[in-house]
Amino acid sequence: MATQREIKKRIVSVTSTKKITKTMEMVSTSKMKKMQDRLLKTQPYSQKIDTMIAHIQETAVDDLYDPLLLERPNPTRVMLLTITGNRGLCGGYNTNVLDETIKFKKKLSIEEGKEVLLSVMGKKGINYFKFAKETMYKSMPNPEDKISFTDAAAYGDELINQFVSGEVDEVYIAYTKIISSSSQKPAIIRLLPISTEQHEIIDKGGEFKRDYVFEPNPYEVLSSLLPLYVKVKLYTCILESGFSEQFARRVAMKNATDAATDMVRELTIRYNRARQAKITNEIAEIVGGASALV
Amino acid sequence: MALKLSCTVLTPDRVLFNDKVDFVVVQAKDGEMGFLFNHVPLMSQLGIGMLRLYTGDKVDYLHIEGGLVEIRNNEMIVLAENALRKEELSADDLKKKLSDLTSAEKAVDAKERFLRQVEIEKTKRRLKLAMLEK
Repeated sequence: MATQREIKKRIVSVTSTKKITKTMEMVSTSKMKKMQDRLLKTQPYSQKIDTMIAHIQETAVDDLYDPLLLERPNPTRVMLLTITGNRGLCGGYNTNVLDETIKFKKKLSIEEGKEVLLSVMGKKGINYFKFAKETMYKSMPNPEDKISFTDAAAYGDELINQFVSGEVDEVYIAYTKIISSSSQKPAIIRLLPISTEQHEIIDKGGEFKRDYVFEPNPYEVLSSLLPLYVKVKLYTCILESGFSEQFARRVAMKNATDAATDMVRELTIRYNRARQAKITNEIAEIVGGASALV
Repeated sequence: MALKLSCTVLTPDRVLFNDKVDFVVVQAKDGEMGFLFNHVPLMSQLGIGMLRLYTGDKVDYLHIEGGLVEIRNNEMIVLAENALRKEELSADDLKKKLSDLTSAEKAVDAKERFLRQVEIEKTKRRLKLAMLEK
């Protein structure tokens, strides 16, 4: 049985671990709230873009065309962007999104025979693919809460250029989607070409086609609207992933704190038992010694 | 007056304006464009410049850099790529930035030169709004 001092030592170490996990939990909670706030601020923008695209679609212009909407007949090169975190200690967050990425990549490359270019955001993902000896087309750390729309837009422009120039035929994003405020799941969406069925026309104007005035013309309006859509989509994906990461870390740290509390309680009981046993033992020895004298 | 249109100015990061107004002037792709009640449905690209919102005697000034505007059913939506309020602009800082930009060495790369030109244009327009007296 462990001695009194050994148990004491463990209690001290578990208590200090608990302090750390508790702090991390609180830090994640506040970061999570910040992310949520930013997500809420982006929401109206992306909704309005969706409605505007729907409005263009329901106008009398029916031969709307844009390179970003065009499906290539035989896509051969595909870009896959994975968004992971920079740090661990967040449960299965990184593993889940990486598993999903690998599965999807296998499906694309083996079943459909496409060449997959991997773009990885976040140190955890980069380390994983380095370890697996997979070549990465591009890797960058996750900007975490420093992400601004301008950064996302710059990267979005890069993706759009690669797509338009024909360097890649499709662009996918693997990220962690927020399903509800307490449930997030890894998901893969196609960013480019933009799938038109995503924007189901919300019919408000009745059966008549609306007559819009376009300045300078519908094609140019659409071709400035779509890149904006792509950029906002990318930005939301990064924000959603950031939120999910903080959420996952919060849950993991909460569990760790709870486990540490239980452990301290158990160790304290054991410590008291050991102390009691020692005292009993000493008394027994004294009594034994005294009786030997009489 | 009851004949007001509702106007929302958004950037990806925030909502800059959301209220009923009498009259709006935006900087469209090539030239300014005014909107009153019962404007015909319209969509337009936006340029870099001033956005004025007239409500009664009050005028709100915003600076927008690119994006789109849509109006239909007297609901006007301005989706800007970047936007700032007049109060957020400081004339002194902008003057300094402009002189830095114009005095900097000439960029060799054509793309860089173009980006520099855009930056100068943005700064000029921002400065114009910042110096505007009410």
